[in-house]
Amino acid sequence: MAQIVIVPPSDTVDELQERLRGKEVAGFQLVTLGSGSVDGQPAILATYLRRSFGDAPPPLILKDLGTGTLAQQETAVTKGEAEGTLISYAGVFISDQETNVAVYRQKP
Amino acid sequence: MITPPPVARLVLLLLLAAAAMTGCATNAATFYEGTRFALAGEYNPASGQPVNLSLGYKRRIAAIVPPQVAAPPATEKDPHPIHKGEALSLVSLFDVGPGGANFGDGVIIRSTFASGMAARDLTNTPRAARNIRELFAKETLPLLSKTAAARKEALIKDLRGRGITDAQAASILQAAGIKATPADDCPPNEKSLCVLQDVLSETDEPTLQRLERAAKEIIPAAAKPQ
Repeated sequence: MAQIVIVPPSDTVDELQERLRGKEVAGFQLVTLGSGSVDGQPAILATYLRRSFGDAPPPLILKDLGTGTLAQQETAVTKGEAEGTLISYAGVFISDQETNVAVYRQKP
Repeated sequence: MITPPPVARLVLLLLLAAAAMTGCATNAATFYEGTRFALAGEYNPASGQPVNLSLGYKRRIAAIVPPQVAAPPATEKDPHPIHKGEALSLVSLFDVGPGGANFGDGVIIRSTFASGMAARDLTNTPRAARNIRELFAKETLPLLSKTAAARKEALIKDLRGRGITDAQAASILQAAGIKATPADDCPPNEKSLCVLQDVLSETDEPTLQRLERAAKEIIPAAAKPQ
C-alpha cells in the first residue's frame, strides 16, 4: 500500500531532495512526485512504497528542468539519465513556482 | 483593537466568571469561541473599476483548562492551589472554503471542537495526528538540519545492523513515550517495528532525540544522544 505525503511548495530543489530522502532512509521508496492541492492550497504530493525497516534505496537526484518545448524537455530528461534511472517527471512546485522536475535514482 | 459588542462582552465575562469558579473547584474545562466571517462584493460597470471584494474574519477563543486532577482539599482554598497531572486536552478547528465553483455559491464554514478523551483520541493515532497537523500546517515531511539528518540515518542503520526485533521496537516506542496505531500496510508480526519505521521516517528533532535516548536504553550502544 502506498503512502502519500504532503510537502510544502516553498522548498528549493536541494531542500526538496533532502526532505524526500529523509523518509527513504527509514525504509521507504519514492515512486511518484507531482504538484497537487490540499485543502485548496498548492502542495507537492509524494508517493512512497514501504520497504523493510532501514532498507533505503539508492539516493535520489532531483533536477529542475524548467519549461520549454516538448523536444527540449525530452532532451533534458534523457541527458539526466546518464546520472540515474528516471523514476518521475512532472510539474512540481519549487520555491512556490511550478516547474518541471525530473527525479532520478542513482544507479546501484 | 477589536472591541466586541456589549452583549458579547457580557456573555464572555459570564463564561469567564463561571470558568474561574468551576476551574478552581473541579477539573472541568470551560471554552468560549466566537467567529465572524463576512464577504462583500461590489461592481460598478459605469466606473469601469474592477470588482471590489471585501473579506472580514474575526475569531475569538477563550479557554480555561485546569489540570486533570483537582487540587486536594487541603490546598484548594489557597490563592494558588497545588494541582497535579497534565492539563485536560482540547482541540478546536475552524475551516472556511468556497461553497461551489461560482461566485454566488457562498462559503462553507466548518467548526470542530473536541475536549477530554475525544481530543486525546483524535490525536492518538498516526493518521489522526497527521490529519490534525495537516489542518494547521500543510506539511508532513519535516526538513531536518544536516546534523540531525545524519544522526537519524546513523540511528536507523545501527538499529537495522543489530537486527532490531519487534519487541525491542515496542520497548523503544514506549520508552520514548510514543503511542501510535500501526498503519494498514504493517505486517501483523512486525507492527511495532513498522510503527517505529513510520515515526522515524517523518520524525522531527525533539522526537529523534527521545528515540535516540530510548534506543540507547533498550539496546545499549545503539544510539548516541546529542
